[in-house]
Amino acid sequence: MCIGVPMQVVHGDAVRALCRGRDGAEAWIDLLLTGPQPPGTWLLTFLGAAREVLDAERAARIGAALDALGDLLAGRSADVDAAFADLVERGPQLPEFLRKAPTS
Amino acid sequence: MNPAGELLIAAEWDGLGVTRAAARNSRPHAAKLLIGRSVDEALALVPALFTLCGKAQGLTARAAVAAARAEPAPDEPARIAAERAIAAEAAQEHLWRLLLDWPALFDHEPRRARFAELYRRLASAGSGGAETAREVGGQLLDLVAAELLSGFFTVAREPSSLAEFASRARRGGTVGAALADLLEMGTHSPPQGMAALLPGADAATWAAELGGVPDEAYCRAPTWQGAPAETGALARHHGSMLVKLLIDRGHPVAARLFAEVVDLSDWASRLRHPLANDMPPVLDAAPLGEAAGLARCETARGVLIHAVCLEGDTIADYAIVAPTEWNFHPAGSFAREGSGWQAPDPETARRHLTALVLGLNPCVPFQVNLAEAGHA
Repeated sequence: MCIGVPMQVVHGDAVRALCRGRDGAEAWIDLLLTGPQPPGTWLLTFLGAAREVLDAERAARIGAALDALGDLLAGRSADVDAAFADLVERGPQLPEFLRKAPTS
Repeated sequence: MNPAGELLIAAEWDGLGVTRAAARNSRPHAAKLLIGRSVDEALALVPALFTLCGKAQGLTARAAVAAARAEPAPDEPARIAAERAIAAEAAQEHLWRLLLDWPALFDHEPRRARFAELYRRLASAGSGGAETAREVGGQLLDLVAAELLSGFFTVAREPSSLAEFASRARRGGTVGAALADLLEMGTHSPPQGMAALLPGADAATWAAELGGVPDEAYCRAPTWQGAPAETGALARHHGSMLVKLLIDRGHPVAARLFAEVVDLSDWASRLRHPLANDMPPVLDAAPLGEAAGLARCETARGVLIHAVCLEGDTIADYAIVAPTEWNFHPAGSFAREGSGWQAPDPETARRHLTALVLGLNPCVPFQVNLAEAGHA
């Protein structure tokens, strides 16, 4: 049950980057699979290596899921609803101009 | 606390061998987070939590829910797409172990560039079309034949001795060299014998075995017909001629490494020819009683089970039984093979323990702590 952790690039070179997690912890991350990444980029990391580049929204979703899991492990009553409020993939929405039924 | 969990191995070396080894598995029981949520929320949450095996986890969750709702099985194009996605993900995980972790354990140069190239191609194959999947499947088969097991394809008969086995393995690049090193470390027949190997069972058989959504205690220490069992590449390929030879000669750890290479070939074949008649389905599902369903998925590390019970559109109960809990069961494969063997020095002992853990393929980071007797 492989759980990756989102981390954000602080600075780095072609092969590794110093990254910061959502809890502030820093670690050097191998960039073998992603190539060099600019500061601010979110990476999905596991065992000291970046598995893929994440957009900020997905990084936040994964982070919220891990926060709730951490609360659960720590025996805290995780505010799961708050943590996952924006997690659910909503169905595709029609563009505004198509939402109104034709009047004639 | 690390929400992803970890596996801590505490072992003791007494100057002659490893007398004690215990595994502490803190992998979280994440299924709890799904209970009480709507089905849509739960199905969105699963791939967000299990990001590294998100395809297998997400598809297994959907299949379990569909079984609980008594929905018809997916059509053939959907099953083909699912098998390709799961196969690509499994092959990525095997490559990580085979091209990076195993060579590094024996101080051979990891195949980083080759790994990265294949990993990226598999990422596109998992979500791409048939041609891409066929192509990368062929590249994986080439890798196995030309770079991992080349020494075994040039001679028709099976090796007549372990020395010949090791010699042929060394012709197969860094993975072969790691396999040969492992063999040359000596025989490590577990004094208590190996754990049973989990049989290949379909979802209906699993549903009959479990009889309902299993509780957390079962998920933490699962059993098959009342006994622990090993899942993964060795369980799937223990009947393969060379894997069996290694088991019979007292090399279960080497057998696991060899089986992983054989398993990679199987996933490559699934990428090229999904839903082949001569291979069991990679994913299936079955009802588990009233408004409940179970799905079974083969992954690189072994069998993954999701079981769910619904109350309307809400998750009333959910369980995930994952491979790591089978192999690191308190009386399972690690417990039986982790201690009671000779090692001339702590470094050899540590290496052998690490090889055992790699072969049992946990899905969490692991750490081996070896203490000398009297200094623990």
